[in-house]
Amino acid sequence: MKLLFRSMLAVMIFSAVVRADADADMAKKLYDEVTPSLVAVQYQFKGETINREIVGPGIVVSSDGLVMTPLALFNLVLPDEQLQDFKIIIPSLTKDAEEVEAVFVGRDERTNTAFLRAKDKRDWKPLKFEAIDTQVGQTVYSVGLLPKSAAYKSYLMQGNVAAHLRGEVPQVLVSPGLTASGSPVFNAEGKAIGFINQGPSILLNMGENPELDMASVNNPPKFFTPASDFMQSLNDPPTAGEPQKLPWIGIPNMRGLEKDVAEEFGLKNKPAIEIGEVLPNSPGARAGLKQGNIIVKINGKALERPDEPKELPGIVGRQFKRMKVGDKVTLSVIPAAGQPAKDVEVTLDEMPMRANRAKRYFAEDLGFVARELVFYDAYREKMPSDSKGVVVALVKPNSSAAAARLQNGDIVTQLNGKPVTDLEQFKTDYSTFRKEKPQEAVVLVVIRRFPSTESIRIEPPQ
Amino acid sequence: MCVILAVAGCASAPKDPFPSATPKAVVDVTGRIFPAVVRIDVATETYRDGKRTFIRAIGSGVIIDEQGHILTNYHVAGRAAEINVTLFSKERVPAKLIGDDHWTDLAIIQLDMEAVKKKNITFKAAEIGSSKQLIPGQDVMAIGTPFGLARTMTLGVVSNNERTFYPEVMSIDEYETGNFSNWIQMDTPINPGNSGGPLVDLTGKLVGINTRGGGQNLNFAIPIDTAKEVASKILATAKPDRKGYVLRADLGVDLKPLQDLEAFFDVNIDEGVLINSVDRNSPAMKAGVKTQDILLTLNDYPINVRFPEEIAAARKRIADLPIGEPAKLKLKRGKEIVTLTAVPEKLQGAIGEEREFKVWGMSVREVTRAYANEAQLENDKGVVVTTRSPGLVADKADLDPGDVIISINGQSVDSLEKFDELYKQTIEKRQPRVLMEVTRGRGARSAVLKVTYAKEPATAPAAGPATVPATQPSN
Repeated sequence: MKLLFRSMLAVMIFSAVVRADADADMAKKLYDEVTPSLVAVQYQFKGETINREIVGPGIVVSSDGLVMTPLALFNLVLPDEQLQDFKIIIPSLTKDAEEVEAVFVGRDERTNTAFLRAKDKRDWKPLKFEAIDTQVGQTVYSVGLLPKSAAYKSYLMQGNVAAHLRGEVPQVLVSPGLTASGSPVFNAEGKAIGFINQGPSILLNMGENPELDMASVNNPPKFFTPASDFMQSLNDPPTAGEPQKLPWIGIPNMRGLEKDVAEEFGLKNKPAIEIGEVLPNSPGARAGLKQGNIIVKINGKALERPDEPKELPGIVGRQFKRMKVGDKVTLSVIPAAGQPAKDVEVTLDEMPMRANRAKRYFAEDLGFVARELVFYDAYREKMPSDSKGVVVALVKPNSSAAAARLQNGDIVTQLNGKPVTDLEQFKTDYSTFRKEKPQEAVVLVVIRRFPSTESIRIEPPQ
Repeated sequence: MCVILAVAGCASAPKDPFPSATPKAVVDVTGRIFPAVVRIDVATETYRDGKRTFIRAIGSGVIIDEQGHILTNYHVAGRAAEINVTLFSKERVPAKLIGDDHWTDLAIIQLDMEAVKKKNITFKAAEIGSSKQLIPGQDVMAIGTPFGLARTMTLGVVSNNERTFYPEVMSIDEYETGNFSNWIQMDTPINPGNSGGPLVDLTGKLVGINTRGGGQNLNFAIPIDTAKEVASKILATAKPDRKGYVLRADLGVDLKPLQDLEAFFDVNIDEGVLINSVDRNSPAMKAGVKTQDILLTLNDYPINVRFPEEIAAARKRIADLPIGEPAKLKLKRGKEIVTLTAVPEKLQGAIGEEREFKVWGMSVREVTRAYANEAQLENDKGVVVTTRSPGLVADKADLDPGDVIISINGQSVDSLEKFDELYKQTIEKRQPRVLMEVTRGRGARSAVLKVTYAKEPATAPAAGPATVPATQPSN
């Protein structure tokens, strides 16, 4: 009996070893198959006063060279026209990395992704993502790229699904961790099932700062987004040269009802959102939505249950973002505590232009950048939405403008006593004045914390 | 006087307007001013974690009369709930706050004269001089209790007699200060604890109140001419049951010197001041004053601000207007001359009155017009949350500092008084749930406070006192 037991144990150990080897073989195969789909994307940020080369991770997702990256690589703070010289870098284990030219297809804010397309026609090896659910405990793999300082070598990590979180964006928690942000995630069958879209570092070229450069290795990301969340982008990616038209409802300020407040409105265990503000002339205002209305259903469906109420505005905001301009959406709202819900139909408009697409003008001699006033500037300053002016987008350190205490975000409403209507007019008036009277000071009136104003005299370098 | 003149070495010569610091003069003046200098130990009121609490601090002061009134800084004693004064005799007696004025960083306290009599203490009042004729280079002495060390004398010169910090805005514990007067700058060493102590000239006369140490030998005192005016107003308004104060008028305009802008605005040099900004809902806005106007005269008195040093005087000219009485403003707007009439309001700082609301675990402040303007609120209704007790009612309802509470149970809160009243009502009724409407940033939202009460009804629903009571417990 004792002998039998001992031999059973031996068999068990032996089979475990065999299984581990099978896992290793599978992982190696996956690593080899996936590596050709992983690329680095590179572009130049050419600001008025600084230049930066930015390199981040990308995944080839179609055979004609479409590459998906995390949205964070193309920060919305950066003006679109200053993102230039896009390249796709194809790493190699045996030779120098190859650089091919690419075009920027665009950001896709519906899914927090961005896309580039190689100009080069070649035999691209795309990854095919599939919306496959995961279970807690199951094995997952991720394959990513090491930074430039490690020659963009691909690396593999293995882990287990630990939990599913709703979050603003659904997230799968993996123990002990995953490869860098921008990497794909696979199940044990080798199917691409997710995308790592957050982590300590998004850049692959932080070489001068080794700590940051290896941040994702030292402190691996632990969450990935399941493919079901971003399939919309893969099936219908943005179009190069056409900025994505996002839908807009005009209720920027929403709040998930906490348990106590929900009960006050008779909404125990029913996720609901309070509207904090309805912008004048927005689709929401036209449909009759009011501040204080409680949204309980969208298109007849109860709101999705979040992990916590704070996530609801994000979840619902994303739900709206995924609709199309012109779509009609029916909201069931409770106007006030004790009243029954009523249906309100809202026709979605296009979201107003944001600062990243605003035209800019560099007043180089005085050292500041003016850009078009966009809807969100007036919103931020609580100014009437039809306000006129141009926005100070940058003040060069130690410049004449800086010495005169001009500040980023100032809204210029007057130039030398004449009202500023738009950027074109500002540009013409400014450049004419500077050309005719190069030695003379410029007097600006700016709005700084509306309705406060400031008169600023900028003396040109003599 | 003869002694001083002799010390200055000119007993028979004409009177020296700027007596200098000969060793004998310094020793003599020190001996004469020391009996008027006191150390002040305070417990200062503050709000933290939703509760009214106290911070202990030490400053200096100078006795100005036989009734035991002491001039010191607002930032020493202005919000003190308990004050103890150590006199020259090393005896310690309690004192009470008589009044304060954060705009000039001054406060008046008074010795407990009964305690003084009982202990048979003698003290001397300082001889009050004038700051008008101070000139840069003149010798001055600062006396105080730096770091709580007993009476310390330091010597230096006036570095600048009209120091302004424009365009910087000065503040003391968030309260605006220094708007209505320039400063005396001197190289006389000033350290923490010197605040509120006297600056004297070499005749031993009080010329300033030491207020700020700038480090690197840049130190600042409030001119005694400013302090004299503030002190007399505080003493005139102080009553046994309320603190004395300085009433000032406000038009709600930000002024800017016209230096280098005269040609642009086509005004003569030394004429007018630029209206840089007009506050929302302010008397000036209601009167139709616009940014870019040049204010030429105020009630026919010419206003001339070409240099930053002249700003404080122009602001004071506005502050001295009678409140509620129409004031005539002559303005230059483009090429036109416009005459408008504005009705000055009482000046209020951005920091409104603060109280604690124990049952809700929070402290809130009145929203003033200045705060509303600064925080870009549309009006000055409501109260603003300042602090919360972690884990208690307000914190659990997710109220954050900066949130403005505009209604309670559907009733609008237009003032701190109203808030206090509604708070007490909910406690009397022992309401378990209180619905609030709150604005944060641009949006509004509902919040529900879940309140639990002790089994027995609370006997005295406790809101903190309005301010530090003028009558302090004499302990």
